[in-house]
Amino acid sequence: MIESDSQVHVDGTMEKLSRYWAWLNNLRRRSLEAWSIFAQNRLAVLGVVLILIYTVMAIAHPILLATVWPKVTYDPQVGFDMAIYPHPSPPSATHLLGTDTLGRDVLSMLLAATTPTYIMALTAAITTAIVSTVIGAASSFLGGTVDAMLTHLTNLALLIPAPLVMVVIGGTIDISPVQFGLMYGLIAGAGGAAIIMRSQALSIVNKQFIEAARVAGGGKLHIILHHLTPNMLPLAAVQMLLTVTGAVFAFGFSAFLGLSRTRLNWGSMIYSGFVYQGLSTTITWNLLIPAALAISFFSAAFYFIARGVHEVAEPRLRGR
Amino acid sequence: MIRFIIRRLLSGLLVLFLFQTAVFFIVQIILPGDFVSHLILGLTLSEAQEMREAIGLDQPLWEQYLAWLMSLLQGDLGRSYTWFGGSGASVVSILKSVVPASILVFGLGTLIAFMIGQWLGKVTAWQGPGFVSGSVTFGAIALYTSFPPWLAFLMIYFLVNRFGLLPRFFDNSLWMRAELSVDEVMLAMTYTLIFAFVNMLIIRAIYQLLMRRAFPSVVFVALLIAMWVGTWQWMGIFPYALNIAQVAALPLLAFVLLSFGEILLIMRASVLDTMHEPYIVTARAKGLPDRVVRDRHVTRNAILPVISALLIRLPILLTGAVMIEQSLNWEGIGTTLFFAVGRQDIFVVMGLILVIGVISIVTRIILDITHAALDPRIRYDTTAQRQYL
Repeated sequence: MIESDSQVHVDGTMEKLSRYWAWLNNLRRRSLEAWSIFAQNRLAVLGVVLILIYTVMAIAHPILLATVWPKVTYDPQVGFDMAIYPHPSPPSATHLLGTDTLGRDVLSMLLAATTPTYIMALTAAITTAIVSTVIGAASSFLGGTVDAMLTHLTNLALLIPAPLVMVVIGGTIDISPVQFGLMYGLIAGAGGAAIIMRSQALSIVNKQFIEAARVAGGGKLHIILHHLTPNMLPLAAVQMLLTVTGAVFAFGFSAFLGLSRTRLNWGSMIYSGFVYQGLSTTITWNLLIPAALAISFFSAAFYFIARGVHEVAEPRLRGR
Repeated sequence: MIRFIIRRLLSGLLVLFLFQTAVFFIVQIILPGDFVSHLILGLTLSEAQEMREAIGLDQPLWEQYLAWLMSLLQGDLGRSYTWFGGSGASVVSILKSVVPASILVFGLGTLIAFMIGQWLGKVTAWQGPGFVSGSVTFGAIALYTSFPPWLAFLMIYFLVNRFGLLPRFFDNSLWMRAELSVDEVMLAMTYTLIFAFVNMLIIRAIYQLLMRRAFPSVVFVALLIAMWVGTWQWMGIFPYALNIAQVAALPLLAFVLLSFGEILLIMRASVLDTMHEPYIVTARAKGLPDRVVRDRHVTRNAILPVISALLIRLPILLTGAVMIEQSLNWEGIGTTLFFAVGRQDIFVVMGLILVIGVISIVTRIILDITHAALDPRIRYDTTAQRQYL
């Protein structure tokens, strides 16, 4: 009696395990398939390569500071090289990208700014995806009053002027990259992204499998979680990656105006280059060009990946 | 349709009202201090108190809010705090100087970017993959992802300092002799631009009705420019308007360069999507010329997502141009709002937000109607209405 009971139990576990295994296998096969579609888009692969380079940059900075670079000379905020006069100096063997007006190493500043931007961009992207998916799913599936209220909320979020937010933030809070990302993600996610996600969700809600799930007796939460949201996720990923461009610009610009107190930022590097140009006629190209390119490539990388993901998500777009 | 418009208008106004209320209290409560405390270093305590009483900042917040609301209902937007005491500049006069500057650069810029972007998107998608379409797309992405202050800096460096093609500031010797101020001329230019545009739309509609043929867009643009410049001559503001146009060319160009890429990419994807629809195959099978299929069958369907994207971005376009305005010293809505919030000059903030809100509500309704006119699905099908509007 006892034996047979445990036998049943073991069988159940085995069955569960094998189902789990099949699911994993399926997932592996599908992700390989997705990757092969993704890899056909050369720009998307370039985007992944760029992201990897930025990751290496972010990781390399503390290591370099701990091993090769003496802190006094290479600190991104207060470093100063006594051996060189005058500052700013052009690229040399000791300073691969030269130094800026205050004698700081440009390469070190560039690398140090990667981590905060990364954190900010990812926070903004994830917040946007979550907020827009929730709003889209709720307003399309529940309809009625919820839909009306959420649509009004979206219109409200679209009205929020960027300068207002920047000043209010800059004037009151000592804002960290995570907070900035959250703020940007909330506004972008409740605004433009929510409109796109809502119209996508509406086109899914009208499809027959949702009707079938409803007829089979699925509850609202069940349908939203298991049938609606999985179909929205690919587009949410696209929205998420597209947000990064705006977020990086806004982050850079608020530092450019001296509003956010993150001192390590590509935007503030450009700003210090401009300030110096106002004082003397020399233009610090060695400071301006790397910082500007860093911003552009960072946002372009996410944009390229977004296009690749979009192709995986929407088969119609493939092969273009 | 009329019921729909009225409903949209009312709900838009409700949202705007709620938003304004929120902004009033956010600016006054969350930001530390008030307008007077920004000047406090130069004042004694009693002087500060006097000033607060003079401009009404000593009253409780909700009373200030109600006072603003009452004066708004009487059509008075209040006065800026900046010139307190005597005759302060009214918010209306500030708006009169700032809004034309914004419309002139960013309204016109959006229009130009839209035309360039949709044309390039259409052409590159129609040609299929190749060197030209690849490099155009790549260039568009490169411009779209360039940091605005950096682009502005490059433009100043090359166009102004190196080659001296465009002036950076207004020509003082010209304006010294002028009887008109820059603001007045700009306002006149905005009016004449809208006048010329509406006229051209009417001419185009009449032409299409009589000739049953599409009006060539090159002729449209040429006639529009000719008509606009002609009105300057007719009003006798030609040299002044020309100077303004030269100075405005820099922010205009920067704005177009930054924003056309996005429209191009959306249009391109949309055209590629539409090209394989069965009705396009039918149109080709009927033996219609390539151009007709492209311009009348594909474009008319493919342009809808572009209009939607424009619709979503409209309020952001009005204020988000602050990056360009700030980098190129162009006093538009964005910059003014920025400094007004910074100084907590609350009535100016409220006035600007009111204008932005009204413009975006009205434009959205106009775009919605255009959308419905272009797409019969939206006109007849309520589900589609929910989806697109």
